[in-house]
Amino acid sequence: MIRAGAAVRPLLDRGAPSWGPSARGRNADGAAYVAPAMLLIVSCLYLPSVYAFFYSLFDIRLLGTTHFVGLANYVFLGGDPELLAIIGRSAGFTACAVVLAIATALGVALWIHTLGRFAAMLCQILVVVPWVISPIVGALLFRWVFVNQIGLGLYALQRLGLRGFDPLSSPFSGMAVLIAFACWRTVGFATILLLAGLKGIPKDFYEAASVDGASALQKLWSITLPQLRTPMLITLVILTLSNLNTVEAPLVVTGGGPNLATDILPLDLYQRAFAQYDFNSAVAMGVGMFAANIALALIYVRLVGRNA
Amino acid sequence: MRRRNGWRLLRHLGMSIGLALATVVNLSPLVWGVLASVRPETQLLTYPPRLLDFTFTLDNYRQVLEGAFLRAMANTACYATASVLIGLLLGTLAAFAFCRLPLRGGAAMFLLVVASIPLASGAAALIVPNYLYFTFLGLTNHWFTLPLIYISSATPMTIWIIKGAMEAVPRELDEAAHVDGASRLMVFSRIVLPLCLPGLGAAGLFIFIHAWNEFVAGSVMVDTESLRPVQVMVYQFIGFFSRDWGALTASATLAMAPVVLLYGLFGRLMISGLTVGSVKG
Repeated sequence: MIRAGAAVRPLLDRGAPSWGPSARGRNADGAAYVAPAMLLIVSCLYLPSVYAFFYSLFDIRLLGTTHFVGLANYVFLGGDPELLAIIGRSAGFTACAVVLAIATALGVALWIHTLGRFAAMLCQILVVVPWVISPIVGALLFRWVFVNQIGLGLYALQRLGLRGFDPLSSPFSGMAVLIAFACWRTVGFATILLLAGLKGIPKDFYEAASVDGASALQKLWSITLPQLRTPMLITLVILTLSNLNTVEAPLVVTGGGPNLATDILPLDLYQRAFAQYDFNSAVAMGVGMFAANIALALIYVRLVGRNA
Repeated sequence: MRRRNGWRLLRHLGMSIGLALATVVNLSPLVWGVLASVRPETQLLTYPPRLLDFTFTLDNYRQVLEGAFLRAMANTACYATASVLIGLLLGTLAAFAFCRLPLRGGAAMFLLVVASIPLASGAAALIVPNYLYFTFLGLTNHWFTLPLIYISSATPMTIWIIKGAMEAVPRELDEAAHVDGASRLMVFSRIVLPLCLPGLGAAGLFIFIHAWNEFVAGSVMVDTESLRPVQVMVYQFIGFFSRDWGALTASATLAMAPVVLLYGLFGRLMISGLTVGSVKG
């Protein structure tokens, strides 16, 4: 039976075809289509953390729970003298890596935006390669070229007069190498996100500004940057999440060293759980990080909704 | 007129230099890594480093392939292929319902999907909960363990990419087909699906690369060597070969080859897929 135009059109169903059986039957139908995917998302992305939260209220021995201890695991983790230092390092690492990557990406995106279609696509493809290859392989190759004593990077530094420089000899340079790696890996991705944002800015804005006699710098400052606000914030959230959750980068590039200088949250959590088998504090840490991720995800949802 | 030409020349020059610089900085680890993998041990240590002046050898690859590396590559290929097939099926069905079928609570459910995109990328925060939960359910260390995890973490993005593609298909087409007597299944399979093939391709590529590159879950959720994925194998080589950079770069080259190949072929599609999830609403 065709009942064209008579359909109720709720938020997401704008213009949905109004054919099919009764409204009730159609509802059930849509639910059947989304059920497998939703079930999988809820049971494999959300339930584990709910389970882990309850688990974290017990004392864990050999992966079995013994007795209810309330928040003792969290108190224990909070009492870890290293914890504040780890959080501080992670915050510093993430902030530096994200800001540097976005600043670089903004420059690259503005430049690519001036190119012709073909050159622009080619540049995008080249620039995003480090994001596409696996973090393990990327980190290994990055180490081979920039950290290793016989690598190209140190050779170039030597040619520039900096002899006997070992990136892993001081805490500062170790962190710098880790930040450089994070930038290398994420800058291309940030570039294509910002570029997509640039493409969305209406051309009339620039034409109107030209008529008013605005300089290129004024256009950048008063049109491009304000218009890029939401894409930049989205990029910020995605890169923050990515860097807060990268186990591979510190594990392979610096190994957490020298002297724990690059032992950031994700690596610490991973080693706590799977090298030291200290699940009591690892679960508490994991639940805490999940909460932080949820907060970032909510910001992301708001930003994306604003951009829609 | 002459000034204009000069300006254009300058822009072309700037473009070429910029392109060259971006390529060198961005791709030097890859190129230098691949070049290291095909030279003999002794020539890795030459100083100053020589770019192209070396004897070509496949010894490093032979050394890598002697062990269980090929098996790990095959494992990951199976995991990734299964993830793509099932992920696309689930994602397409859900996306179709979200944009074409009336669905009670659809808006709320879709919000959950969107929130799951960044959440699913939070590998470190998820790993301990996942490990405990999967251990509790007895789901670790099976052939289906890793595909299950890969599909569930890629599904939110898959839904979004495909839904974006489906929304671009005009609804008038569905209705016209329906007036001509097509069933809903026919509209779906003959009209909507063929028109959003690029979206399906982008989503499929995304799932494949996600599954191929995953390390953290692969390193703790399966224990048996016959189930080990390739990224974990590469990581174990770092401890095993230590400073034998020839073997290490050879294993890295092998482990990135399929992704680089796919990316080279479908880079454009991949980029459209990557942007869809974060910029278009």
